[in-house]
Parts: sequence; C-alpha cells; structure tokens
Amino acid sequence: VSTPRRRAHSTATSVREYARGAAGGLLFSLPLLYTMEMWWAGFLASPRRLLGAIAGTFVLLLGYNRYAGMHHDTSWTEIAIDSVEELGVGLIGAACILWLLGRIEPGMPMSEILGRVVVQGLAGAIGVSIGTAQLGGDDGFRDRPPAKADAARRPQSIWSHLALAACGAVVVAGNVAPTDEIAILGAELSGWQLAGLSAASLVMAAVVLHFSEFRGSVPHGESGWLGVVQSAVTTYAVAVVTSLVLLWFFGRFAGAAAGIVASETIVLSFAASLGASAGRLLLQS
Amino acid sequence: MNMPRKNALEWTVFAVSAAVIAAILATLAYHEVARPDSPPDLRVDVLATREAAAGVAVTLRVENRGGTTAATVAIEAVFSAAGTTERGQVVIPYVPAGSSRTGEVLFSRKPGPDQLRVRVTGYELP
Repeated sequence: VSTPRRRAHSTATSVREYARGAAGGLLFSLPLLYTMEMWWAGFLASPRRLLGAIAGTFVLLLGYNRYAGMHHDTSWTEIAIDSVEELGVGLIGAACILWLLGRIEPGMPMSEILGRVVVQGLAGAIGVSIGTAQLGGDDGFRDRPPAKADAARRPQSIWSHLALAACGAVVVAGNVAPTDEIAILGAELSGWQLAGLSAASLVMAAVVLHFSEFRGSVPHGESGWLGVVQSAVTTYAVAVVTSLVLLWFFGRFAGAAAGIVASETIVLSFAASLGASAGRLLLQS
Repeated sequence: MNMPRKNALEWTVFAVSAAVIAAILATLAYHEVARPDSPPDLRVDVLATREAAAGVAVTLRVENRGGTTAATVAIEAVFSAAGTTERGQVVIPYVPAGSSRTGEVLFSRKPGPDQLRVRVTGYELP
C-alpha cells in the first residue's frame, strides 16, 4: 500500500532534514573517523569486499527506513530513494571530513582514497539515516498520520524486529569492531570468561527487553517469561550474526583458527547484543 | 507506481547521491576486474640527502606496484666506504597497493654516489 506525500516539502524543511541527517551522521560515525584501524580498513579490504559492504549497508538502510518509527506507511520507491540519499550524503560527508583530517590527499592513488571514503561513508550513512529519523522536531512528518495511531496498527513482524536489532547491533558494535582490542580480547580470554560474556549478553538483552516495557519488544506477541526468553535469544542471534559479518569485513578471520573466530565473535557480540536490545529501542522510539 | 513528491533540492540531492554511488560502484568493479590479487611488488628509491641534527638524513620512497597491501615493510640502507660500513633501517606500517610512502635513514657522514645500497628486506601480508 503506497500513500505518497500529498505535497512536496518546502526547501527550508528539507534543508532542516538534511542538517539533522548530517548531524546524526557525524554523531554516530565520529569515533570511527578518529580510529586508525578504520583508515587502514580502506586499503586492506579488496574491491570485492567493499562492494559487498555497500550492498549490505544499503539493505540495512532499506530495513531501517522501512521499519523505524514513522516511515512504515511509505512506499518502497520512497524508501529506496531515501536510502540512496542517505548513502550519498554519508559518502560525500565522509570524504569531506577525511580531507579535513588529512586522511585523503590529492596525491593519493584512487584506490586508496576510494577505500577510505567507502569504509567511513557507510558508517556515516547509517548515522545520517538515524539522525534524519530521530534528531529534532517532527516537522518532516507533518503530512503523515500521527505516530500514535500508527503504533496501534503497526504490524510487529519478525522482519521489523530483525531489521531494527541488526541496525542497533551495527551502530554499537561497529564502533569497536575494527579495533585491535577485539583481537587481543579474543586471544586472551579463557573459555570460562567467554561463557560468562555470552551469558551476560543474553541476560542483558532479556533485562533490557523486559524492563523497558516496550510494547514491540516481543516479536510474536508472546507475553510472560517465555516471550522474554524468545526475544532475548532472537536478539542475541542477530548480535552474533552481525558480529561475524563485521569481523569478516575487517579481515579478522584470514587464517584464524575456529577457536579464535568463535572467541572474537563472542567478545564483539556483547557490544552487538547491547545495540540489538537497548540500541534498537532507541532507534525505534 | 506513484512517484513521491519532492522539491528541487531533494531531487538534486538524490541525483548527486545516485551519481556518486554509481561512480563508486563502477570504479570498484573496474578495480576488481582490472587488478587481480597479485602479491605486493615493492621498490625503494633514494629521493634526497640533507644535513640534520642527528646526522645526514637520506629520504627514501617505497612504492608498491603490486595488487595487495604490504604491512610492516622493513627497509635497509647500507652505506659502505673505505672499509667501513654503516647500516640504517626504517619500518613502514603499511604500503597500500598502488601507493607510496616515504621515510628517512640516518648516517654519520654524507654517502657518495655508489656508496649507498637500499632494499626491502621483508614485509607482512596482512
């Protein structure tokens, strides 16, 4: 069902929306712009991997724009256009900041500039998307039905749960995924510590989802402790998959033994689980 | 399919974004096809020599003409004249494919022509 905007925004309104997006992009990706491993990731990743990352981020943006808050009544065409804009703003913004920080310079070969801009731009695009939806007033949505009426008839599908959990996980875990600290923790933690960390991740997800009393935190409308357990397990599963994908992108698994792959994933999944539970509630509100 | 209503600014941002993304995708695809994952191919050149407080600084440039990044690139410079030998070394964290990096080695005296040999002694494959 597509209900397109009845009228176009005024230019002032869209300038405000882009400013919010840019602020969000900076807010969520600034730690990464200041992270050395992120600059290196740009030339360590092969073109193939960068292409995969662009595709993955675009799918994430589509999911976020489809399911976050007020966007759910929008047509897929509009969602795709919004996602392209967010990706573009993220990439151009990242190029500007990297230039200001002296991380890209005119003399560099194209492949190195491109790698750095893409890696940072993808992180920025997710921030732009969140910023547009979350920061500031509601003037961008004046022409849409009020959010409250929407919330009542919003279908709490498993897809909405998964998409927002994955976005939250990427936003929070993405800030630490490229750092060497993950490799150090993965190599040094004992089996007991790792078991404790996964238990803590699950408990944290359950506690956040239960005590937030958020209506949509249970995917299938299941209530009581069974619903909380189900929701926590789903959330942790999303966190693990997101961590695997992030670590693979940053080249952590090349030549690594299965045990190291597992322990690094568990270490990152703690952060990803926080994002998939608490972060998700923030993104959705 | 209903096209969303957008003002001129929004269409401009969309068009620029779409063009940037298309250009990036095309360039990455071209790099993927044109440059297979060949190993690093490094060469070192002496760029300049200058007097410094710590001795004579020789500026080196290492260039990677291969298809993949070399990490922890160790460069050795040997200066031999009149029976004496001085060694200088520098380690460069990353030399990405197609890129070059510079560093300096220091000697107590100014090396003459044919008295200085520079080479890459090893690197990591990240």
